[in-house]
Amino acid sequence: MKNTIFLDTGVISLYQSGHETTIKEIKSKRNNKIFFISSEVNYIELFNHLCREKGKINSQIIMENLRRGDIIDFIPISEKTSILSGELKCKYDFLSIVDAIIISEALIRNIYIYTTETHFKNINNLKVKKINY
Amino acid sequence: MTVVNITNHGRITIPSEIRKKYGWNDGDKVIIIDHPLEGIKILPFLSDDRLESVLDENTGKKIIETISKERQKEIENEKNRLYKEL
Repeated sequence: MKNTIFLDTGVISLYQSGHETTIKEIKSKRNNKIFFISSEVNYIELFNHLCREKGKINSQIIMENLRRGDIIDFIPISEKTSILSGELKCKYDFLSIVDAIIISEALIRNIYIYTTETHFKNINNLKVKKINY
Repeated sequence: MTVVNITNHGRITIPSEIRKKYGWNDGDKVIIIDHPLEGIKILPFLSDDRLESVLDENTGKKIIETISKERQKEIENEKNRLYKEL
């Protein structure tokens, strides 16, 4: 799992909007056999916001292509993740449900999470990289 | 509506008027999904290059900012609810 990076929704959105630094980083990591994962909750979140901007059909096309492509794997929420997410949400009152779930996924795997959010840096033991845009 | 046969290996032919309408040519890829409510759907396949530019810069940033605000709003709503209960 050391060769895996977790992508938060904002970073995927940057990738989809041609953000040069993000695309460069993703391509360079992929060339070095590093894989990217994201959660099904990120899928839901992004689908929702794409739907507001581009309509349902376009969101289906974009998101299903992303799911079937070889860039990101969307992982379902496991029992372990649920347990840790609940505990994190209880411990850190500045986390949303999505925050808690994706931070759990990164902590369980001991991998970096790339995010556009600023408040993840306050989580103990979390390896986080803030992507600026 | 068009009726087509499923031939060996599950092959079907997408009628020419539909291929024309969506600009699908020989060798193009499509994505087939089994939608939980809408049945089988055929969606166009997007290359990596296309996926990297499905949004313009402003829309991408707007989505990021809205997501961040909504996550923040969820936390504030929860805190307000807790204070009310106390």
